[in-house]
Amino acid sequence: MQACPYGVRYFDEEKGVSDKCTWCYHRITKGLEPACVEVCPVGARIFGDTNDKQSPVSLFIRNNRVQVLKPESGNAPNVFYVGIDKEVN
Amino acid sequence: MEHLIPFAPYTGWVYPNETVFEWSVLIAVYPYLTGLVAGAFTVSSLYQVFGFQRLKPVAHLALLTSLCFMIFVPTPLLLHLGHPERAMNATLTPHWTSAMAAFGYFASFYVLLLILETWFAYRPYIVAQAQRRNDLLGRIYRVLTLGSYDVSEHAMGYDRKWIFALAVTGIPAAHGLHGYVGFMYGSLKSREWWASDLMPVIFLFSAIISGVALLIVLYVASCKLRRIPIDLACLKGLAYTVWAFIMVAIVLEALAFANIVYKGREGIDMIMEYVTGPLLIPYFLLQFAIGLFVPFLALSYMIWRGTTGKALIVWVTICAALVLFSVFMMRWNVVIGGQEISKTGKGLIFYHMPFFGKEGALVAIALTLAPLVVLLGLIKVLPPWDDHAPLAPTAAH
Repeated sequence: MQACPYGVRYFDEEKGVSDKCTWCYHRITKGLEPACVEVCPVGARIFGDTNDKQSPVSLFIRNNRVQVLKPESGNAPNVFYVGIDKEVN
Repeated sequence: MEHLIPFAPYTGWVYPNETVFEWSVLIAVYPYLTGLVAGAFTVSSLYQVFGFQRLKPVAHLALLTSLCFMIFVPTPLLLHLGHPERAMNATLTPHWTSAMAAFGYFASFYVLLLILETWFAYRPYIVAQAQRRNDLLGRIYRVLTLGSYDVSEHAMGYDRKWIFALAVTGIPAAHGLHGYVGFMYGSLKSREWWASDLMPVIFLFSAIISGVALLIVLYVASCKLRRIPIDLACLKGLAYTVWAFIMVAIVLEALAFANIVYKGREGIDMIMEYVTGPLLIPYFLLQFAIGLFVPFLALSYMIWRGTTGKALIVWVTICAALVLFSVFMMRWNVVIGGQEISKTGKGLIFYHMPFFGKEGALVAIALTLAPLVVLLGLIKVLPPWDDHAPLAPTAAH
């Protein structure tokens, strides 16, 4: 938990274990989108397979100026942001 | 609205999950205890291995102190775990890349070593008691002899060899045990406050000063309680040891801090804001000024002036108490301080220590004092005092 540079992991008090976002593994394995993507009222999130060069997420990354968090760390995360605030990056 | 999970207040920008403070005061107590183990063992080794004869009055006390504190080392971690019953899983299903699994073996090895060395050191006493007593305690001593009643000169010579070998092996073991804690913090690149290669060394030197300081307090207290005169040569020897290691400890900490500032990597602005703000009192005032500089200057003065007698006893004890406090503050400032600086490098989180509860101040205090209670019981069974002959003679010459 301490080692994660993005604080992604959290402690599940109920189960007594640490956990992380799995992009709703139970949904994506059935071909559904992660819940946060589906419910986002303004469609801010795009989820998909970056190996598939024609997927919406690949096209979005290619056609927009995207950034990642902590680029200097060399972590190369697969979560991309567009128009990220200077205060936050 | 009341939150389901305790929520730490924060300023600036922090990652969402960071508002839950994961490592509490118990995780600060853990390195404090391991440090005291390593430091106390150092005192025992200075006598057993390096022949510091003047430390003889505290040599066995140091060994017992190390053992008692080692028993309680895992307790803060076990209390912190969500599933303490899974604590041994890492060692039962090890992997070459798992530092924690390796450490599990290391710690177990050290516990065995400590028990074995204590047994050898006390064997003549155990045998004498087993033969003399007929009560329940006598029965315990008979079990403790493990069927070996041979205390002839030949057997004692054999024991001395073992004590020497165990004490020598114990030095890297005890310091490796504590160095591991520093290694874990130093390895975490996610936190600029921790990610320093100097961490294991800093932890080691602070451990040594805390262990020696603890021995000073315990020795003075035990002499007062037993109403016997304090061996000033021994006390001075301990004072010299603390004094020498304090110098290194101060320099190392200062170098590590200067290193963070000089490198000026991402997040340095927030670190500077933190150390000049919330950390000003716990770090600069309590840990350094009061906890390290005051003892350093007082000890320097006493050594320079050749202070002796009651003034030496009082001031060395005060210095030792301050060092013990300083080293706890060091653990606190590393463990809690590191988490108060957000991983974003753009925000601060504030830890509030609860008093009650599984990870509150009360449990932390209890766990720190519990080894002393066990020590109080253990010295009744295995008296570490010089005057309680026969004890195993030293292997050092």
